[in-house]
Amino acid sequence: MVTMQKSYRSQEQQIKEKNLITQAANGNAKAFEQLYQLYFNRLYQFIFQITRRQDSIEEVINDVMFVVWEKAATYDQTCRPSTWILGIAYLALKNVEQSTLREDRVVEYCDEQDYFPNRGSTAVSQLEMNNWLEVAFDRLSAEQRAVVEMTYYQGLHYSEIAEIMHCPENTVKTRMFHARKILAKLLSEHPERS
Amino acid sequence: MPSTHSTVISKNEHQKVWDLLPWYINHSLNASEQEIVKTHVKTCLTCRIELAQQQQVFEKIQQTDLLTQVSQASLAQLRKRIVEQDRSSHIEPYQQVSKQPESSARQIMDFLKYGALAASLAILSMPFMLATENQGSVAEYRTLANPSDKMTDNMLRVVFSDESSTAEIEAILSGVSGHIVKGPSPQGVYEVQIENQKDTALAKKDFMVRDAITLLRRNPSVLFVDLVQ
Repeated sequence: MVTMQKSYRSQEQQIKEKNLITQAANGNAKAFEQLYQLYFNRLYQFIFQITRRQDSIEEVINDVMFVVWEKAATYDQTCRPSTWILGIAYLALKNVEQSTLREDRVVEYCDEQDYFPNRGSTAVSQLEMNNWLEVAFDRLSAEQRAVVEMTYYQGLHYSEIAEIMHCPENTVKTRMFHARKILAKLLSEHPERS
Repeated sequence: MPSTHSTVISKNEHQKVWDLLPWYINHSLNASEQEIVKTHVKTCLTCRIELAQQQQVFEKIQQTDLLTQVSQASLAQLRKRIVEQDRSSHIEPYQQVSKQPESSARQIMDFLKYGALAASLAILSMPFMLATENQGSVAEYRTLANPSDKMTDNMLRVVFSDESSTAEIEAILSGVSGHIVKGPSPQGVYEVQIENQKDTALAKKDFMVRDAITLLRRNPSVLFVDLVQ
């Protein structure tokens, strides 16, 4: 799986993606289809991890890729293709599914005791039954999930994440700080931890 | 003083490195940031422990099968739906489902049917009502439209429209995993059992029965459906 990260970030991959965007900007539908195939899984993962819903993911992917097709000529090649495309996806999610981002439920954990769920609480008993990561992700806010997803799955640098999320780099670090506290705590409590 | 100054620098550096660890793990840091982290981690036990822990999280996320995640999310939504449906315990007062215009003869027949049903139930329930009064306890009054929450027998009383053939009735009942146990009575009442498997959990049985009631009530060929008390 680490090889997947490397392939996302490799120079070769980025040049290939940039070329595909340039060709798509010139109306090359085949190049656009290749780009679509390359990004389908990444976008699926990205959208799912943020919204935690699988319904209408494909619809959102198509909305995102439609913008990519329409705006391909405006891509200035200064940022990575992934930063540009995931940025469009993040914006689409913010605009279209703001109500499902669960921002209202958990914003930021500032109180230290929030990192220590009580034994016997619903979350802990759920942990005994389900994949701990599922439960852990559900305990994060949409913003925190986005940062974790972009870091640990998409392999992006914090500056790229800040660019995508339109926020300062320190905000990205703070979101990750709180998220990793929660993840680490749940990991340490999970009986099947490796 | 120099030692204090050095401690402050060290703390700043520690915090900076601690913040950068996730991006050290995903290999996205630039060369100078990577070097700072690498050097600091060699001497800082806290950061080494944190690094190992975050590495575990990173690997777990990398290994997680998306399809499993998606199916678990779907299951969670289904569970929520089942719980919500169960909570709302949609055994509403009986309402005439069919909105199609009916002939007056049919309405009279229905009236007689319900009248006969209500009268026979009233006669049957009389001894019980008297018995509870004698015992001095608070009688629990319950109408057909306001049944108990306990549904241990999975038995329903169902009345079908006159136009329904036996084949149609069987088809309707098989759609809700039900079968006729008794009936029709002279009033046209069938006693129907909803899938009675011994190994089915009670909660699931309840859910299935409630679901069957809802589906039957939506069917225009079903004039009446309720639990057997």
